[in-house]
Amino acid sequence: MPDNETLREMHRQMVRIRNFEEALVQIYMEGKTPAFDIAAGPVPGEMHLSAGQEPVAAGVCVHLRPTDAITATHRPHHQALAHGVDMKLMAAEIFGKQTGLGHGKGGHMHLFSKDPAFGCSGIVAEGIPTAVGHALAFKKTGRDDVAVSFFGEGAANQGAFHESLNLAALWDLGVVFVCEDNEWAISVPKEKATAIANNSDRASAYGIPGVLIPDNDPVAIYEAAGEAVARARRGAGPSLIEIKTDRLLGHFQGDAQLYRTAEQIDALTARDALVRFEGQLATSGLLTEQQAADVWAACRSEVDAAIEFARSSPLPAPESALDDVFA
Amino acid sequence: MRQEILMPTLSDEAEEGVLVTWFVVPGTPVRADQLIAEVQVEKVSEEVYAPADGRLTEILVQPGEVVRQGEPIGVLEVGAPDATAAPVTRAPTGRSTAPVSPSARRVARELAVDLSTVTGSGPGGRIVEADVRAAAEQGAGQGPAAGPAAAVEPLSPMRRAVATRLSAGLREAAQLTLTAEADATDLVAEIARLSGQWDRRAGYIETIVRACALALRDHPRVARQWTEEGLVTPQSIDIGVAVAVEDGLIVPVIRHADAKGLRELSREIADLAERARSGKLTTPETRGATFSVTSVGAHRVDAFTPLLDLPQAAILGVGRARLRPAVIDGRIVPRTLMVLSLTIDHRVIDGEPAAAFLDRVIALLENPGSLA
Amino acid sequence: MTTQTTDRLLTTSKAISEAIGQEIERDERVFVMGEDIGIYGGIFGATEGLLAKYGPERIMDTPISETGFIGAAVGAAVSGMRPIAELMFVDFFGVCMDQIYNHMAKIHYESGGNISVPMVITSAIGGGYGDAAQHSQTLYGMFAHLPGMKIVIPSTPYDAKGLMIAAIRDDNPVLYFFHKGVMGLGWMTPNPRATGPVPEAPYTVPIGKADVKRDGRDLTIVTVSLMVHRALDAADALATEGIEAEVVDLRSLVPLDREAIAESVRKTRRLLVVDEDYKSFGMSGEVITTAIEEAFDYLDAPPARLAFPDVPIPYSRPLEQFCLPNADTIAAAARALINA
Repeated sequence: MPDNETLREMHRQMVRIRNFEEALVQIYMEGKTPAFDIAAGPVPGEMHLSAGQEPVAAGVCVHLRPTDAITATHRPHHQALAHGVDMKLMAAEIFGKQTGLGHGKGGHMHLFSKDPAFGCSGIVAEGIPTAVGHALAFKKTGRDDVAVSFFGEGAANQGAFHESLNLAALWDLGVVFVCEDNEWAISVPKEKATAIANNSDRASAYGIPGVLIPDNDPVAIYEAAGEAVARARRGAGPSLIEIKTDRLLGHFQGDAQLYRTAEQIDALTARDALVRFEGQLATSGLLTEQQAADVWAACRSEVDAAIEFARSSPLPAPESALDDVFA
Repeated sequence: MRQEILMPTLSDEAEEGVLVTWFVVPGTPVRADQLIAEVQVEKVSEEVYAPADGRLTEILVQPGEVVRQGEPIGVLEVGAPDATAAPVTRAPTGRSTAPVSPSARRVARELAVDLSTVTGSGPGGRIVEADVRAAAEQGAGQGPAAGPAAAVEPLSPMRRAVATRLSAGLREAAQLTLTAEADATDLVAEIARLSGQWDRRAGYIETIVRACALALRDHPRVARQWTEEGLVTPQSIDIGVAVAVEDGLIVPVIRHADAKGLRELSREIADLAERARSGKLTTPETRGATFSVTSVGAHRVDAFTPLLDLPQAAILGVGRARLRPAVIDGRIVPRTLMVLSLTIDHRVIDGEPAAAFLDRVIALLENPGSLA
Repeated sequence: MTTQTTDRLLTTSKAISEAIGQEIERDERVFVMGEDIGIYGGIFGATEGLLAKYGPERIMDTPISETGFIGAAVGAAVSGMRPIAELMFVDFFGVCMDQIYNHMAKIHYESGGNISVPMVITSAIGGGYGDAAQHSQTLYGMFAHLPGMKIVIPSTPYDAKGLMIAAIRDDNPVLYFFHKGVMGLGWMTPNPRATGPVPEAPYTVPIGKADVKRDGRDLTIVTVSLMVHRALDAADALATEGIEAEVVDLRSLVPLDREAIAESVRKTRRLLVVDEDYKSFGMSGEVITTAIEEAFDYLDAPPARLAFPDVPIPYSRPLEQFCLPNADTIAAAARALINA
């Protein structure tokens, strides 16, 4: 059970993330109305937001040091922010600015940071073997850092997932595999894609512990992650945690979501884990209304400042497209 | 002069249509009769042609937009388009061991030009094909190319259009010409009589158009048109009458020629010819002929081989009418004789039915009372 | 130019889904597998409306398991079916390439011609709208380099339908690449050239035959896919300066219509290749080499190419637009070639 300070920190991270994602909902649509044009506006291309999945990031990342390595997916913002990636530099990268994490070359699906150690990519399951590699490096150099691989329930059907779990188990590597099950690939629901009900059951196929968190509860996630991280850090090998979480928005911004009903979406909003968590904290006296309001205000300011930094930063010079292929 | 290009009216029921696509970019020079846009009203699509030479200055309706029939879709600035850009002049460099392009080498071989005597105009003094050809024209080995020797007159839009249409017709159709002599003596008398009756000059042309129109009623297959899917018989007899204009030819169309009497034909032909010569014809007035008549009767030409303007399958050429000896009842008498030259597309019409049609035309002309 | 005698217009994506639907009706061995091809209709609309018409036995949504379902398509084809498998973005080939280039492409040859693999892999290619390094590539040069698979890349709705029907009926493996920018999707930047006449009855466009999309006499522009549109735009601009560019749409990379390239270069003497794929070791080099091999004596200037530089595709708009050929840069390259 997390102590009060940790609980409040987890809450703060979730509020930060929610504010960032909601700001992007508005910003992404700038320049794209009245007729949607994916190429237009200050943030072109695709945008995959993580509203609803904050508990996963908060519950896991609060256990991590900056030197623990995370590999994440096309929906990376919550994990990046919770791990301590600089929000200003992240925002600037999303706006394609010279000051961004990748000088505008990577964009929202390709955010890379050295400190804290964070990387993500747009190919499903691409990061899972990479996390195994980080853990391999840590083991070879005697570091007790941990590698965490975040991926979705769809990725668990890719070959790379299975190869990675087998390899990490075989070589006793300190990886925490975290499967964020938000139930939907793009339009295909999990029950039409996965032959079994719970991916946590796949862990036993590789002889590693598998834990299922059924309800997006930050505290339950915190506890399971704490165990898995401790296990990895003391050299006892990898674990798999499966978390049933909720994707409140579409797969990507602009997704008409014709594959799920309005009722389904409303039901998700009704059980918003952030709202539930705030309620629990309020009930146990850990978070007064005023304190909650202060947290929201502070996070909103932080997000506003990051967006402002991004907007006022310059775009990169066009010819710089040719730089940075090789070291 | 600013001229609006209007959305054609294709349907009596629908009010609106869609501008499907433009084939030219604003600012582009266009030639009269150049294809500039495609529009669609309900299921019918129609091509829109430039009404005159000029420059398309404005597009008022974008592809995909809805527009009412008759409403302007673009603006044409009427006037001769700019002359084609002058060819790029290149200064010769006069280097001796110059590189030579592969094409220049080939042409030098073909034209027996000594490359060591050619100056290159390409980058780094490269000898290019044009340099070799210019040298050949001046006589190989006689010094560097001095630039184009002959004056070149840029092709006018009219010239280009005539060239394109007529040579395409020759390539695609199987053209042959039948000639036959008509005795126009009684026709001459009738024309004189009509001139008195109408109080304006009657001419051969309306009698010939009338004779063709009536003959086409009896021989509708002569007006059929070739398509890949099959032969199409037109619904009405629309006859084009060739009018010589400065530097070319325009063929306005008489619609429903068989329904019009000689006087009406005479007036209409004169009006169309006048407007053709002064450049006032509209594009629809020159489209859709199913048969044409062309006359060089004012000159000494007796017979000739008129060329088809596809998709028409037949065209009648009229030679001069001249008093010549003829044989009637075994005696030599002076008669006004005129040769008619009928070119047909053999893909559509065979010789025999074409000859039968020509017989009918001549029969009508030789019995001018039947033309009324 | 290909004759199109119809006034019915479709977008490229609708032409593709119509083609697939007509073949499904005609041949019970045809079925489609892929991610989000069912109710979603394909991320870029290639299977729009097909699930509702033909049901889940013919239009099968799959898990995110490309090696699994593309490999399964190979097996199904060997056993007599005619599957179409959609690789959502060509950039994803990495997770399943073995099944494609080592298995699907080689079985016919390795079996001495005894076993054929009549399948189609459809995939979305191309960028220009900010989708960054892993979702914007074209990569056809890389696939074309490997023996055993035909590659078609339509640029117009008419070609899209004809080539899809031809690909399905071909007994060989065919990669069918469609550029997202030619599909005519409402949520991408509008493209008037993405809509065009498409006859309703089924018809084929021959695989391995290029198409001259615009006749010209002053230079030849050879290209494929969305760059055909850009080249045509450039040609329109050049025409106002008295330069008539001939635009050759390859339509297929394998087999490559080398004679069409040579014939055009023999006519105009000058060649410009426009390629959205990475410049080196790809399509542009192959086309230029073909011109030199088959029409050397007709070249009046060195062949030129305009291609994406050898860098991963950057996200930020000024960077990506710097790298992509566009109508202005194509016209500028053409002018330079005329004066070269």
